[in-house]
Amino acid sequence: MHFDLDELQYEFRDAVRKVLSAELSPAHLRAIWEEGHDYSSTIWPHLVSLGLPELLVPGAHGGGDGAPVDVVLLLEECGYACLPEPIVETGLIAPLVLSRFGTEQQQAEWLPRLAAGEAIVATCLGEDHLVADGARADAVLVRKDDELHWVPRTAVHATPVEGIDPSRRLALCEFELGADTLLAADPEAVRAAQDAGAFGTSALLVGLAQRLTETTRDYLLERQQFGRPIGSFQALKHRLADVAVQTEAARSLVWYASYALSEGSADASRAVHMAKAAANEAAFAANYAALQLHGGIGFTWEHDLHFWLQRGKALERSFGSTAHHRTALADDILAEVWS
Amino acid sequence: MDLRLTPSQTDFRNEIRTWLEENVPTEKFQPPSTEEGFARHREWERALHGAGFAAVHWPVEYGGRGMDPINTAIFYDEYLRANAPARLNRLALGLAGPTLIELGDADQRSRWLPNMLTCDDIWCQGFSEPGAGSDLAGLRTRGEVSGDTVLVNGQKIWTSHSRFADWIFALVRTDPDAPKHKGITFLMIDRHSPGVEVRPIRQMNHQADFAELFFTDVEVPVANVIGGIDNGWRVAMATLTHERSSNLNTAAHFHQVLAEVLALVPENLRRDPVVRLQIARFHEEIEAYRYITLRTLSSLSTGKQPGPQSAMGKLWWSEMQTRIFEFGLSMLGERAELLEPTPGEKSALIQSYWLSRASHIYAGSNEIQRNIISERVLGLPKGN
Repeated sequence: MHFDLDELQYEFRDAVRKVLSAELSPAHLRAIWEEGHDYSSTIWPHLVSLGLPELLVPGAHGGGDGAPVDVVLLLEECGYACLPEPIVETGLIAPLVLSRFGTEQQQAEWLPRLAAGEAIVATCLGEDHLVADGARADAVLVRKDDELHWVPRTAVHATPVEGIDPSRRLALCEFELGADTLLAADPEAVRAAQDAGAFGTSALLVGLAQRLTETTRDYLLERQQFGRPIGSFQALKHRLADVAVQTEAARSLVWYASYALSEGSADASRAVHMAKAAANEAAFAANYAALQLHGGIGFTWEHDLHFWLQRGKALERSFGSTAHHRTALADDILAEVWS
Repeated sequence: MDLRLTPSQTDFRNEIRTWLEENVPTEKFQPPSTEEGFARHREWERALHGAGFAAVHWPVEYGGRGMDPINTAIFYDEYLRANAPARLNRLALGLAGPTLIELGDADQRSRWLPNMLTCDDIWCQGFSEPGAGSDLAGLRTRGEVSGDTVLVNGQKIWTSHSRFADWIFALVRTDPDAPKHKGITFLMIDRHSPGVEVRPIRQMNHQADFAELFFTDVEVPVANVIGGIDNGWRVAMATLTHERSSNLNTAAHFHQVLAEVLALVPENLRRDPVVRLQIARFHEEIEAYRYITLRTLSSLSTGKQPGPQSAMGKLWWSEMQTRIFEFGLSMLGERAELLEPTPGEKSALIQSYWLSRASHIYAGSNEIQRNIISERVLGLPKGN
């Protein structure tokens, strides 16, 4: 029994961290925010050369044959960097769902493209047809009741809309769904897509909470009031300590979810519900404390903090709010207790 | 990452499980504070020892099984699952013993360790004082060294098990002129020596789990000093690192606590969305605690430095446990204030609630825990 990631997974994490910190500076992120819908990615090729998008594609289609446990640390890094790319959709949900439920033709057409990093995927699994990167994606994975559809760009009608985080490039989408777009008419497939999305987003949120905690720690060390760093005041120290505890708790559940999904455990969905709810709460706590402890400067557009604050607020609700996941978790555990 | 048991872990698990199934007594013992209860608990401890299970985490040469932290956790999961009696000599097996093994000399180890395993000696801890709680190094109990004897005068407080304890591992000030972290000595004191007096503390929850210890001219041989005179702070720090790995506060234990509280939810609230959200949160928090702990155990078992989560467990479980009890009280409604809300019940939920609040204070108050996390994990400055 061993609950930790292995050396190779940590090395891969370090490589991703190195590239993202070199290639995605806060100044670069700021420029991407200013571009909004006119974004043309310079980051994606770096992710491709790292081998990130291909990792979960089956070897037979040119991918890395990995499992969710292999990407959990990498997604934490993507959240830490506030990566403005649909990496969970493209690098996790799409390869998992296509390789497990896709038709032979869909697999043959799309898995090699995903492995080569030549396709960007967006998803529309919830009730609203609000899709991050909806106008830019080469394909959108769409849920309609118990069906999943794989909708190529030609069958997507996307109207860009403005959100608080311009690097998500939201679009309101209409889809031409038909027999030719059907991927699976199977609630299992829908659940697999939702679980993958919630798990992946929970890993992003843990990384994002980590970044907010570190940024705030740095600010508390730097900012002087009453003749000393404000980080020496216990009221502030304790507040940030609570955030650190919540983040580590969430990280532990997210790691477990990565393992349960990789093993195909019977409790995988339950593990995902816990991971996403805990990551939502940790990211919320980090977000709340970061803005408060930065004082006035955090409220400006000029300071970089708000990139993480606004991304966090968006991700807290994508692929399921805390209430959504805890309601599902309660239904699951209480069915055994109060049958 | 692999959460399956290895073949040797499976063998160990099966060995414990089988033995416990065959040996755990079916009737519930009286508490060890009664004569009858104490005798039964000791009998049980000796049976455990006979089977080699008294202290699985101790090295084999001292009567343990040499088990790593993962196997030790497996042992306690099985122990809890079998509903076995509460351990009688927790402070000896968890704190005094490991300290002796680490820093005692050969004579001291052979003198005290065997009787810890058989419960011929029960141990209690003499660290806190009325004026030295969070600021432990401010302790004032005096130890005057003259010749082969340390003469002890002073007072200790918040000792558990002291009413039936035989030995006290204590910190005394041997050099009042040295800076406060120097001049402290770690001393084994015979509780039956002349001049030692125990006074139970009646608690605000109507129970008495803790006591005060008074020392008046108590003569302790210098041979009972562990790690050298005036070197006690270093020894105490070694002891406190063992306190972190308290094996009884496991996720399985808190799931039992939650299950007991769920039984109190009235029929008409079982579909209530607010109630269900709270229960889901408790379940999630217990599972988070499981994996926080398992991360630490995995690091320790492979000789890796444990990550930041290792400093967080006590803060997490203590506050979580209180919230679970608080939820239970709200389910009991107006009956929550009764000392016997369900007829025949020995300890009321309200008493458990108050006792759970003690865990926010003992073993390093939760404010001290937050200082430790903010300073050692986050790197914020000390002071204020």
